[in-house]
Amino acid sequence: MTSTTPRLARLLRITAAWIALCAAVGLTLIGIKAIGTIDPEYAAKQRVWCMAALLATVLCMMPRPRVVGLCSYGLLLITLGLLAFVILPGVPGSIVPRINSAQSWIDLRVMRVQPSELAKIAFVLAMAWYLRHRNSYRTLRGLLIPFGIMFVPVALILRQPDLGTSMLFPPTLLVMLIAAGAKLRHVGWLIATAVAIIVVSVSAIYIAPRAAGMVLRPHQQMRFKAMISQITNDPRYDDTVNYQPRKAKQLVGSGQLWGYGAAKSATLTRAHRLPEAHNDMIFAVIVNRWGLIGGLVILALYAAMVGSFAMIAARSKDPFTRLVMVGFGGLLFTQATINIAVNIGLMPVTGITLPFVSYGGSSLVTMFVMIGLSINFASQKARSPTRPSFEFDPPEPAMA
Amino acid sequence: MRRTLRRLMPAMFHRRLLLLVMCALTATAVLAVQTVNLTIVQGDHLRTAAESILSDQRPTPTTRGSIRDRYGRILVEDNPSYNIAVKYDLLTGTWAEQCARRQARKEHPIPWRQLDDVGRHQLVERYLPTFEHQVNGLWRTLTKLAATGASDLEKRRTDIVRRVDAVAMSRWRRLLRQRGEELAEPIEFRDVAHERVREQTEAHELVEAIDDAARFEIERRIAAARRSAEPDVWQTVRIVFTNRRKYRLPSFRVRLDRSTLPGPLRRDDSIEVSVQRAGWQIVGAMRDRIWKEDRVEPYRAQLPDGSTRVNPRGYLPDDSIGVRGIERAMESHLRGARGSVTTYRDHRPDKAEPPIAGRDVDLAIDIQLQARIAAIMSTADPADMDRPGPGLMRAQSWHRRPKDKPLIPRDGKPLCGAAVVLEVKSGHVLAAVSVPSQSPDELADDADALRRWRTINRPYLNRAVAMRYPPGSTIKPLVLTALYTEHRLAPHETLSCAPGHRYPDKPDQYRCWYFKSYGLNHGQLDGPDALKFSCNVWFFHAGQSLGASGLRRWFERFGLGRVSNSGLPEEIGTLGAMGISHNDAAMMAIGQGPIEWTPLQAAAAYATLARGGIVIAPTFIKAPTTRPRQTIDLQLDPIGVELALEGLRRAANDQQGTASQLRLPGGHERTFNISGVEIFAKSGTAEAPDLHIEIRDEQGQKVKQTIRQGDHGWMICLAKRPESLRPDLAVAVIVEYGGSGGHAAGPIVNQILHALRSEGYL
Repeated sequence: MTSTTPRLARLLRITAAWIALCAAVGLTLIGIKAIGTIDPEYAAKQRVWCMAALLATVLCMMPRPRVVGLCSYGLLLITLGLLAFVILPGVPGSIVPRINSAQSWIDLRVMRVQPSELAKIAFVLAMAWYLRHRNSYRTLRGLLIPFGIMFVPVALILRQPDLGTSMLFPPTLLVMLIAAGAKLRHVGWLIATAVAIIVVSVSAIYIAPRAAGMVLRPHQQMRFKAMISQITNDPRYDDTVNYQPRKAKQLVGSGQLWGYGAAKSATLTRAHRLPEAHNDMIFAVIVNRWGLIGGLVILALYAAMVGSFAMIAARSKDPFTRLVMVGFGGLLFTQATINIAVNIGLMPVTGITLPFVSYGGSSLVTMFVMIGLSINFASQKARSPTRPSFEFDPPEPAMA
Repeated sequence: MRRTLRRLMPAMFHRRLLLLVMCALTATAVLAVQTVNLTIVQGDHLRTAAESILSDQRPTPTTRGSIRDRYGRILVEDNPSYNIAVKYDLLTGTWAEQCARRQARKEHPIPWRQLDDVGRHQLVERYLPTFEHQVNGLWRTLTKLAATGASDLEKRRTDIVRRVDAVAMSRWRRLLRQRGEELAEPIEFRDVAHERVREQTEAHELVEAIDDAARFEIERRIAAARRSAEPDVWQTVRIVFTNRRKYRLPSFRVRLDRSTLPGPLRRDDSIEVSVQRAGWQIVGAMRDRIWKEDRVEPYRAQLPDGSTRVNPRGYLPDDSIGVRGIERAMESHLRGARGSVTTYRDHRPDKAEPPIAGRDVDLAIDIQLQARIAAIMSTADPADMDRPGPGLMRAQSWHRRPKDKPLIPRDGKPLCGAAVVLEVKSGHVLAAVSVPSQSPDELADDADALRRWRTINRPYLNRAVAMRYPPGSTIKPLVLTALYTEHRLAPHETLSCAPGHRYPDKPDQYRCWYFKSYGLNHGQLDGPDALKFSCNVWFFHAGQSLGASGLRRWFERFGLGRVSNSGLPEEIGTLGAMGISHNDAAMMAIGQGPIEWTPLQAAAAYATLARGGIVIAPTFIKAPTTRPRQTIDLQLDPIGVELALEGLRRAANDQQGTASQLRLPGGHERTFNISGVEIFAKSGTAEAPDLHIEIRDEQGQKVKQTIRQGDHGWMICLAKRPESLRPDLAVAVIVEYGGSGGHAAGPIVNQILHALRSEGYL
């Protein structure tokens, strides 16, 4: 009791994490309203999930960061086990159903769980625990192990297949490595290599499609082609692969400054039969209903959330906490950016949801777990003396 | 810069955080800019595009104009009717299973997820009988209400399914090829075959033209089904309003009095000759698909700003279009423009634009006269007890066909030909018959024989306007008139036929038929007698006097070689007169050699003569008069015209006139046995080119086979009522390979005059 009361008091103390919580709740409420534009039944279910997510938030505020860190490897292993389970041949469809051509879910009868959502959190925690006291990543060779660790969940998720979720891991790792002090030129080479691979892969779609098939599946190649055809005003794929992004852009643009309001937006969205309007394309629904103002509010809330994570990381002295917050910020920002970019036609369709906003229980709970851990970590008192972490500046030359 | 930053932020971690935050802000700014671009910069355009889906514009049909004959008798009109359309899934028999599946899943959601395919199938089987019972009930009801047999309905159903399957396969094959090219790797057929084509989601018309009682009953059942929350088979049925083109071309039974026929064919009784679809070659037909080569107006018009609007005058792929005859020639007049109904999904009131009905066309044709002439020219065997014909279009022994060629039509063989009747005053075509116009029933089961028969006889060809023939002696009145108009011969001046051939030293060339047949010549003849006796040598002189270029010029003025825009798109122009040499002039003057015309041009030229040189283009269309009818005065010498008409009168009426007598086995008879009509006529027996067709020999090589040889028989007549100052009607008849014009075509013209009297023209 004696240790609980100060702990509770610390948790309830106003920190930057509460900005994140307010932003998360704001995004969730906007999401529920937007989902209600499409389907009131889904909105009702999302409200229930919101309650569950808040409960998860509270639960995640409890364990100490050190305990979380110690459990991070085990959590990652369990998650990898689940990821392997969903792609095992012979698993009945009643346990692992095939949804949208991917085996990404475990059906628990009362709900469906997506292991890749857990994998995102587990990966950030495990990577933060791994990197917290090391400096091997300061060399190019030393980057191999973190990328090697990352490769395992990415490969398993790609086998489902779920390209969108797998795309979140590399940027998250890069952000954590940059924050941890990896040399920027090493990071620059890695990014340049990745960009080159993407450019070559996309070019290969046109020049050598069979070779491109080693990297991108046919439907993924088609999405790139469709996106390029959108830029070149080629209507070839307008009614097939480009249907979804084309409709999304129309709905975004037609919202103009203030949007249509609930009723007309519902009519318009239903008339357009926008696929996945309640999850992947929810941003288009939001802008259609609330206009540019609504879209900018969403961007501002994400910016506030990412900013609050940065503040928590900046104020914390604990290296694990620092990296976890940076990792969460990177993960959240990457996912939100990719989803919004798809909705406004800057990227091909990837199948990523908008955090806190899109319909989905697993995703919402996972995101609020991050918020709960943020509040938890932000409330921790820094133990002194704590050596400064991730400081690799060369000493200043002495003044003559 | 770096040092300043290190001073402001000594901790590297904070600097790295700042870097990451700046990158995040930059990315956010990019997203914001693109969002602004879409909502503000492109907002108006995207809003228009997005809202266009809220309106649904459906075309509403219009009525195509009707085609009537000169007395207002309807020949073709749109026939509005209500049809029953049924969803494709019901036609294929999959509707019941789909409903049973949905019902099973709805009532057993949790077990459904757990069951495998076999288990699900067994669950579905429990619900299937209910829906199958509904389907069977629907078929029974439709059969009863539509008053049609179950087998007819079944046949129609399988036809529709077969057609839609063919469409789907064609589309899937095209998709397979397209996707394979795009992805450069083999695609499985099943990857494309699951995409349904439009026809597989639509309703298809199964029963046509139901009566009102059936319609009300079906609509009642459909309304009840729509109110029901449960699946009901009547929800797949629709009543569709259509306008079908109904050809009311009458089938006539024409009574022919055989007592006025030539001797060997004459009987005291009359016969009934059945004429099917009289005038169909003039009225034409429609096609119910628009082809690329139709080059019609598009249904959606592209505007300069890139937007599209519906063009009410435009065509949709499933529209009908006239492809022959008046249906084609007057397509834009008959068609009209569809209307539209725009419905809005955001509760705005519907907007309707009414259709514009097509306009009617009145033909100059008298359909009853057309049917009578078709009966006169029937190729039916006069010896046939059930369906006898008059026999005039069958080769007869007294037709005086040349015997020196092996492929002259044998006695009794059906012949081809055409007849045109023009009203001189107006240039209206009262009738234009082409024979044969239908394939014989007895060949219906023999595809090869039918194909050969069609190749030889070409029933789809309207010979009256679209077949070119050498005129033979029928050209002579025009030559005579030209000769006098150019004052190359004085009115009472004579020319000599002696010695019976044009060139004294060439007795085998350029001969008069009199010399060729009897070794005699006509001596000195004036113009009218030259026509009466049809003296070739006289006209050799006349033609060479006018010269080849002079003759060409005159023939062109009389209408040879020109399309007269009579209203039928099948009308051809021919090459007219093409001779250039002195000898060409001689041959053209007797209607042989480099000269040709159609029966319509022949009748029109004689009508011009009857009008004293006023050319009025012949026309099949009485109204609308879309183009002003041009009249041209050829400035013919009135004396020349009178002399030409006198020659025609003598030819038709004097005992030695070449058009006046028939030499029959029982003795001579007058060709024309109608009283109270003044007749001016000229026969012609034109040497015809051999008729060839291409066939494949035993080795599969194409070879030319000669089918027919001989002479074409012409008779062109002007008929005048006693009270008229000038001839009132022009009649032109040709019998292909019929032999002597006077004997083959003359009796037909005589019967046409009797028909004209029956119809009140004479």
